Amino acid sequence: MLALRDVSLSIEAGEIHGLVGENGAGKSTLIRIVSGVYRPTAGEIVFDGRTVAFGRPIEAIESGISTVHQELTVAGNVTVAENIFAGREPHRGVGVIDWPQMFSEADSLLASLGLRVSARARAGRLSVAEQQIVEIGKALSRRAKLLILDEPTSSLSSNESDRLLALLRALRDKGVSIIYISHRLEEILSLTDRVSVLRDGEMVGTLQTPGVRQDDLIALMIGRELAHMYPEKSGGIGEPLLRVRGLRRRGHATDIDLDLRRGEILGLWGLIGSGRSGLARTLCGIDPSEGGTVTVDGERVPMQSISDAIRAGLIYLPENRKDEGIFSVLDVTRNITVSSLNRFASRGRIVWSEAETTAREFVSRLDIRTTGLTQLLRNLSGGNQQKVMIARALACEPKILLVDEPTRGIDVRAKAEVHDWLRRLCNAGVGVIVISSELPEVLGLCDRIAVVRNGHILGYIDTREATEQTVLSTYYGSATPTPVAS
Amino acid sequence: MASKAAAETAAWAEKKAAHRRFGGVLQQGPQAVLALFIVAFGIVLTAVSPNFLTPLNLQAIATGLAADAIMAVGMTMVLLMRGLDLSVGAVFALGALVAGKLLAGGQPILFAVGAGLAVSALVGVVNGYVISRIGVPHLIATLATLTIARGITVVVTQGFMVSGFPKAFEVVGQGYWGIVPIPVLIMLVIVAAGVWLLRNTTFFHRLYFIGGNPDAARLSGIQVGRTEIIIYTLSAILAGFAGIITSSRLGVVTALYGQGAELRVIAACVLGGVSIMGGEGTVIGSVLGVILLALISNAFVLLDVSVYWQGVVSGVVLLLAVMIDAIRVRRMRST
Repeated sequence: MLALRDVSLSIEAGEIHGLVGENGAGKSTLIRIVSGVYRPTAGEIVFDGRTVAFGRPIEAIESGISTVHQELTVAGNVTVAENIFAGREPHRGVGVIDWPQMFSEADSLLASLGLRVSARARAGRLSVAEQQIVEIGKALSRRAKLLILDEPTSSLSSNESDRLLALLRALRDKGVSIIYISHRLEEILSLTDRVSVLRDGEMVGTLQTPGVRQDDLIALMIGRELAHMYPEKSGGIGEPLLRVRGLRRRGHATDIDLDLRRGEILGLWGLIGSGRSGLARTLCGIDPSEGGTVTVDGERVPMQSISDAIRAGLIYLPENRKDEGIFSVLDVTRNITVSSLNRFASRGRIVWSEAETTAREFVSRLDIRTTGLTQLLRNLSGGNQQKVMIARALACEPKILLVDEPTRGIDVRAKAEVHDWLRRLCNAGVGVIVISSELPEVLGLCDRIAVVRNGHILGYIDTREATEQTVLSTYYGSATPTPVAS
Repeated sequence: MASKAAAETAAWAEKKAAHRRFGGVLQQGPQAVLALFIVAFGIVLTAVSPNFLTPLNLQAIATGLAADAIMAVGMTMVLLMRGLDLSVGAVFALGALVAGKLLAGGQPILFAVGAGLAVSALVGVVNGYVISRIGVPHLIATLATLTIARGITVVVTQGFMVSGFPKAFEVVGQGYWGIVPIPVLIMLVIVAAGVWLLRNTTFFHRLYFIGGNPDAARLSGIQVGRTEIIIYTLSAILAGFAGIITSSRLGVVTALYGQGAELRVIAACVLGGVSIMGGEGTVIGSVLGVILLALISNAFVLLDVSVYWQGVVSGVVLLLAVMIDAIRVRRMRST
């Protein structure tokens, strides 16, 4: 599979160039190539008049291309100065660090960036915003001519963001070029000189930013047809199946209110970092909650632990199949029955023949392609692993199924099968909540969409009358959504 | 589109077949390989030494390995859930010492043994609690309890032997059931129980899930922390019990009891196909590993090689075993 196809991008000296696109459009791949993390399979990079081919990130950094990744790489246990000069500490004599020199150079660098932090401070004590500026300082101390910032403001307050943007403008005026990646289109429009849009690994356009409207960018970002047919939507939506009131995540200020009705698939949609998974994980007792009530089928249930949730019939299918889902060294039977093992046991003793019967049933019902029940999960394809995960959830006889990114990384055919199954479950009376960052998927599959940003639900949208435009507008706050659940 | 998918499937099948050819023996049957190796080694020993295949020698080997095999049952369970217990050798000594002191002081046998097991269990509870609730890495936590338990045995014995146990107690370690030494019989019962429990009970079978993928296990509703505490406790109880059986056989307890047993037992488990990364392995495999190590040390005796070389050879065997495990894990990741 190609992550990027025939992409051309040119950055002028002293320009801030925005890069936007949906999740999976190829932004990260593109910057990883430019910064030497990946090698391109074809094409060339010309930097500062020279054709370059970076084998390792350090080569890119040494030629003047520095990247500040979304996940900061500041070492918290050492000083700010050491972070800035890691690997290039000023020396006096062989191998002896010149500390006074290092601190004074770092201090003047920090001052030039307007950061009021001592170079002797431990970096871990700094706020995320300050650490970000330290990373920028590190890049500048390496004489970076091109600075790449990936979602730098995603975890900053609006005040901190403003200060960062001001700093970036000042750097541009000193002749530094900047590639700025962000989901926050407002920022892109106010900060950048030009903006490029990636979609499905292809560059669909580069625009002069002045005069561009947010809607133009959105149209460019999503302008594609649905990849396949989605199953038919629900005919009749019944009474409430799940009712959540005032559930509060530990460490979060806002309460969660949510309603799921029988016979509907509800989509929880928001961009990466919008808190949609955290919300779902709180619902399932994985992340601790305080206060609030959860009612399943008219009955109030305790929600203190994962076992509480499983007992109440709330089953969560994690997003990260490999890390949190499958047991790759165990076989199909065990992977299907792990959560429901108690059903196949009498007084703690497992009756394996029953577990195997159930596993065999699901293998044929879900059409899982496997050489047998004893095949290890690591030898199954991604789509079939995902079906095993679904089988595991179904073996618990769920009342409500929360599936997090159910089709990430699986092929179109398996995708359609998974969609089909979710719809059939829903028709059979199981409540289904789909968490996804793929807008076409939630629009095509779900009956309603709850739009999530900053960990709370902004509003509900009926998908029969919605387009990608209306959902994105709700997310970005440029339209009034229907009020929160009745 | 269809042809591309078909090509991919074919490539995948080919890769798998290649995989089976080159890596299959290691992956699918470490136990079978080990069993064959043990038989081959036995044949070689029979050929080079007339004293190997004699009832007396075989009884001595079996009795000698009984304690390690009992500890290997607990260690297998710990390793399966991606844990590690370095304290077993010291707990072996501590359990035997507590029971031995009480016996030498004239206390009833059941009380003395019970107290020895209780003190062992306490070390296990501390291990489990510190590892699962506080989050101390298992290596460090059990290294600390190893040092503490060993320290206590040195303090209590002051370097002297503890002996003078009642006859009724020594009969257990020194008696026979037919031609089978009683320690071996006890070991067989514990091994059989370990095999059965791991396969057939929800509680023990869940160790495979915990070691296979701790995060997924937690999300599947398994109480990982509670299970860890119980298993570390069980491992310590088995170690203490092995120590008590050994003291009954030898009639004495010293401060050096069980020194280095932890590494020997871990080596045996890994040799037997238990993965250091958790989730894979069986009690049978571990016991086969114990048997192989016992044969190697028997070979030293039969061939009249200085026992001082044994440490070197054990270390080399351990290194080889973990290398094989690492290669298996890497091959697994690349598929």
